Amino acid sequence: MKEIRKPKFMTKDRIRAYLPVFALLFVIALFAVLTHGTTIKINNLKQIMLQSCTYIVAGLGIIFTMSLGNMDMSLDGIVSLSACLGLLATEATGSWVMFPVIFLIAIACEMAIGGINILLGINSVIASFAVSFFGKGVAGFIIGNRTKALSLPGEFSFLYNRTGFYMITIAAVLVLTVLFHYTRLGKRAMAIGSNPNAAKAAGIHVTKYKLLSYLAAGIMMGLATILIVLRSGSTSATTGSGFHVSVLLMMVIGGAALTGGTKEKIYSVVVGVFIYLCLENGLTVLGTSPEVIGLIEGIIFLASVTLTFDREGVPYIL
Amino acid sequence: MEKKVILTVEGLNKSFGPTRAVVDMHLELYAGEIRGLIGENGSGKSTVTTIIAGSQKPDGGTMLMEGKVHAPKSMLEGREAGVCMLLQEKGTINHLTVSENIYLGEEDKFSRYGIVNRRRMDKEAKKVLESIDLGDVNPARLIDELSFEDRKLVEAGMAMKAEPKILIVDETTTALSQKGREVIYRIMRQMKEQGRSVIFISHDLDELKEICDNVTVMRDGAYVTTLYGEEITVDNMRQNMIGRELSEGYYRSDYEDNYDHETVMLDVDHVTLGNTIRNVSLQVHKGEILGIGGLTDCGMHDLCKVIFGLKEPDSGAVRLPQKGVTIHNSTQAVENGMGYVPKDRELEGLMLAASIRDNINLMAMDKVKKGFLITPGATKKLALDQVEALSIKIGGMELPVSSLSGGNKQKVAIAKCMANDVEILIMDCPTRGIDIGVKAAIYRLLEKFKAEGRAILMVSEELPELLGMSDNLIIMKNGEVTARIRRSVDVTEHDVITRMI
Ligand SMILES: Nc1ncnc2c1ncn2[C@@H]1O[C@H](COP(=O)(O)OP(=O)(O)OP(=O)(O)O)[C@@H](O)[C@H]1O
Ligand SMILES: [Mg+2]
Repeated sequence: MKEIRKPKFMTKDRIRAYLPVFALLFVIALFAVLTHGTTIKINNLKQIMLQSCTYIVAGLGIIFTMSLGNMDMSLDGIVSLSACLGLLATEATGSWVMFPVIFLIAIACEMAIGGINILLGINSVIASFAVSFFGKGVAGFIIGNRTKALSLPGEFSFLYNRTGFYMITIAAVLVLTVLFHYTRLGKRAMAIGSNPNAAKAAGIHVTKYKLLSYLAAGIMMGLATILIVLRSGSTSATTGSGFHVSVLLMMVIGGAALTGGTKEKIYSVVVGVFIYLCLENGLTVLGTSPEVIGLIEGIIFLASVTLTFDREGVPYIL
Repeated sequence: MEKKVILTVEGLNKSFGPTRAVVDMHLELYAGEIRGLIGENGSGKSTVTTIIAGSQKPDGGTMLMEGKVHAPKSMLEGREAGVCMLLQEKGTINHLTVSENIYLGEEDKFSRYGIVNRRRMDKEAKKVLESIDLGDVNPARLIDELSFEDRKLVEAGMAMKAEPKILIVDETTTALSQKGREVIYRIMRQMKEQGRSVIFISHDLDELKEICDNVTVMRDGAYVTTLYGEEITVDNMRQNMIGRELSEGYYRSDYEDNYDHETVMLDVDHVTLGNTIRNVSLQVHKGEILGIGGLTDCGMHDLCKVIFGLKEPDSGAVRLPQKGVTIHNSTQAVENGMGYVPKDRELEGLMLAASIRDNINLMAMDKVKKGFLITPGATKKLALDQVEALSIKIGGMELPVSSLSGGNKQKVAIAKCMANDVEILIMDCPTRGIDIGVKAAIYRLLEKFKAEGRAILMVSEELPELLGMSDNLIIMKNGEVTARIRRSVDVTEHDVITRMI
């Protein structure tokens, strides 16, 4: 270390951090050219923006548990269970009671995952799958036994409007960015994901902050469910199915680290969602078959995981 | 005197981004010598030796081993060429048993039709363990269950099994107790007798003087000089390392009774934990430095964990009389002004992949926050202050801690506590792997803390440090306190050792 040369502008970390943004710009430009401008027409963009809302809100919740190093695969089950019970409650009482019910169910599910993980020491992926299957099972049973569709009462349909969705999403991004990057909650969750032993030895209450992270995730999943219900106007046995995989895929494309830790960023959710949606939208406009779209997404997923995998976190041996 | 050169290193260079870790290094290693390699923290010792062992590749330069080009691409290749290394940090793999670790990659020797004969493997492993005085360890146990010291010794056994021509020992001894050190010394001498060579990295100058035939000094990644035989004196080494005179007064010079006997800051009341700690009581007062020494398995390391609330004792209690609280968990400990520097920095002290800034801020979040916000400006300032105060050698605040040299990692682990203005500091081997310049700085820091009326509990494997710094010294053996010694000029290392074993 004789002399410290001027730090280079492009370090590996910076590239890692900015790559998703470049990728987004590239995808937008590429499809704008390929489709002769169809993809950047205002109506198409509006469509993408609207689609993005539910994904972003859900991703904002998942990033909290992911930063702990805990992968969460429960989103689809939580969505179908809370949507089903929420609409059922509103149907029974004829009131707005669905909103608190949805939140409560989503929070209860996430806290259950956290609790199972902490108290029983069961891997969080397994715990989240268990809760997810439970949710899907109960919702499928209830809906399967009905003759009438479970749908949103007409008096609430006014809540479904673009501006409202945008406002909620933007507010969620702002609030969660502050919580995640500028308060103890996010920083401690990331520290736990980095090294739980060191976090504990630094006086961080690991159990408390894990549960708080799951609480945050639950709230955001409740919000995501409400957006989904408002948009689709009803719920069926398949509501939410596959949602968890899409969101995870988007986050990884945006540069989120599956292993958690201090390098997690909120913007990887937002950027990832847009890359994915622009890509899918562009390919669809071009007339690509869904199978090929799936294949391309798979390849991009692998590439992103490879790029974001943090070797420095793994102590080197041999 | 004509000596056979076994390894020649010429013009070796290695940079990490803007950091030049090794600059035009050269080295000639003779057959049958124990060569010391010294230098301040971050001077490139580990980098040079890991290149020789094959775990990193140099940017440029040549290495010749017995006349043949030596350019190993991995540690396995290095091992085949005859170089084995005991790493500064963890070198064994968790979740595998002791024998699996020892025979990693060599399971074929014990398998027939693809099935490993564990009994035979364990039996062979037992022999290896006996060669390093660990005959009583069951080879079928998980390596995680072994103490830090025993894991290091197992690594030594693994290295010796490969019968290397060159053995590299990277600062292993500072983490070991006297018993462990003896084993490593014996191994090194054995190598020498057989006409093979050892490169020995250490910050303990007395130990180097004792053990080494010759000592090579590095500074800022470059070769400075090599001291032969008689030239190896503590002063000589120190001067060459630092490049300037070091002011006198390494340890404390005062012997007065100068702490507040009335104010008990930490009260450990008849604490028992399984078989490791038996009925231990102690008190640390305001402005007191209390040292604890003993063999590594005497219970002193676990005692730190109990005091800091990381382990719940079976009976007894840890109290902070000034705050009127009993410690049950680490959160409470930190909230009440305690700080803990763990012995195993990689496992408990640091978040390796996280930035230096995040690591230093880990403990001090409550102090840094304004309202409920933690701003980047505040965290940066806190980290900068600490980097300066402890003169931590870093390439940049946002680099991961894993990019630091061993000693600088340790400094980050200490900085994390300092950043939170702790009143009661629990330090487990605080100067492990730290060079003499910074060691002196840390001792001055401890004196300053003492003067400010904080309470310090220091567990250490190094007797001179304990004798040099503590107001009171407690010696433990088999989980019990066997002696309490007051600070005085008359206490000698010999007195203390007899109480330990
Ligand atoms: N992987 C890495 N990435 C970036 N910098 C590194 C890396 N490894 C080492 N360095 C830097 O190279 C320099 C030399 O480090 P090295 O580990 O060789 O020091 P050392 O002499 O072994 O010190 P110590 O006594 O503290 O163990 C240090 O400044 C360190 O920060
Ligand atoms: Mg080193």
